[in-house]
Amino acid sequence: MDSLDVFEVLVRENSGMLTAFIRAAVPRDVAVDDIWQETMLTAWRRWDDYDRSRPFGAWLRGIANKNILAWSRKQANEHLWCDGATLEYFSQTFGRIQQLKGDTFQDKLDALRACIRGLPAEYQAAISLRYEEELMPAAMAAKLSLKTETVKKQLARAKTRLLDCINRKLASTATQT
Amino acid sequence: MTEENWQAQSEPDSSLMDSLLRQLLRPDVAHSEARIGKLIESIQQESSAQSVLPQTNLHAPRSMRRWFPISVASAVLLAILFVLLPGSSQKAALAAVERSILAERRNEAREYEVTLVTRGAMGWSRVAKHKLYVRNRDFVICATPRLGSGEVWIGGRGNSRWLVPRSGPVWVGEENLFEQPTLKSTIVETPFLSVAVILERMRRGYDLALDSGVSLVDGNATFVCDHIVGTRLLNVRIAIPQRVDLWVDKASGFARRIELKWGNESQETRWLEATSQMVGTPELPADFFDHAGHHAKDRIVENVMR
Repeated sequence: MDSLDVFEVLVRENSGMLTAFIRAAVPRDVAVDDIWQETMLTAWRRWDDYDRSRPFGAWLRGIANKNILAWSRKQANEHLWCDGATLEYFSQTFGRIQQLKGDTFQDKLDALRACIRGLPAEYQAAISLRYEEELMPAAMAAKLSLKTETVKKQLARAKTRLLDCINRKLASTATQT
Repeated sequence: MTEENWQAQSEPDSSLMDSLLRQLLRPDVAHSEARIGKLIESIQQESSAQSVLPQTNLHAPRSMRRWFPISVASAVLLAILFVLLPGSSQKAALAAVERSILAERRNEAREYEVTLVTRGAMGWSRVAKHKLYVRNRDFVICATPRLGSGEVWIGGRGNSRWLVPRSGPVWVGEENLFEQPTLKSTIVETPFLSVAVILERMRRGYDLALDSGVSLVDGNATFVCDHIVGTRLLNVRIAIPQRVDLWVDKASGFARRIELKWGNESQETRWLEATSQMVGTPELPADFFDHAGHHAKDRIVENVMR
């Protein structure tokens, strides 16, 4: 197996994680794709510098951080909230997610799926409509015969509960390791 | 705590949960696979360029969706991959390709009309054209990404690269210029690379066959050519073209026409077909391969250092 074959395997293993990481900080899908490409290409060009004792995902996130900050600096007309401290917070959270059970990042996110199942029914419905069916709050409200503001509050509260739930699972995993 | 304060404080967490939920519930596997395929293809092109023409960076960043996708090449494309098997046809085909490689190094400028067919996001085909000018290892691309939107000029001489967009500053830098995030929206992408680079890149993956003395009709002119056909071997990564046709002018050694075809079964690449057709050997101004030849003197020039 040559270097590129090894690199490709690592890319495939970490692609979903990197996508989610960048998307947490960058509000536009096109920019997410560009930063993803930029990050992976930089990783390839610096392949000889990669310390094999470190997790590849953590190394990628470090490269992505620089690219996200560079992108943010160039968005002169927009107020973007993501700064170095926030990216560091995201990096640590993703590092802890990587400790969860599961072979792939998708498998590790099963912990979040379990959290969703623990939500009240109306919150589960809100999460499904928003993230599986990709409806905006106004469309969700029409479907659920609710006011848009009510739907927005349900989503916000559902996400808060999910964050609490996943943080408990991450803390539980940390104490076991 | 007011409702507004509560929302402002939780914005990073809200964005984090948005992203995790989207990845969990709507992961878009097809898009991810296509992106990985494009990445590997870019790396292979870049690696081949560095091994054969160290001063030429063939990689170009991914285009923005509002421009059609293309990456900068340094010269005319020849996706020839051949296996050095004993056999006169293979050797003859190799000799024809090498003759074309030598012709590429002459200081005579050539103009090509490049046509690219790519697969769009919804499965339909998208056709894009641009002009390519080459002289030895210098190159200029002239593209109009959107009808009526003006021209973009992109070029390279030696280690330097430059970009003259429709408006705004002219960008000048080194081989990594086109990797700058701000320039990606104006980059034109083409699979056409120098003959030598493609030869090196594809050395292990194609079977070559030669048909000598073929007539290639171009308008009112007929050229006698060596027609080399490269067929991709089965064990090669399928993101590279499945078939390559090259017509080498027997008189001049120039590549008169190159056709690349990717197999329809490949979902790892957006490319379907690419064609480069030689238009002629124009007389070009002395500064044509410099950025100064393509903009007014008072235009701002930004130098981007490594």
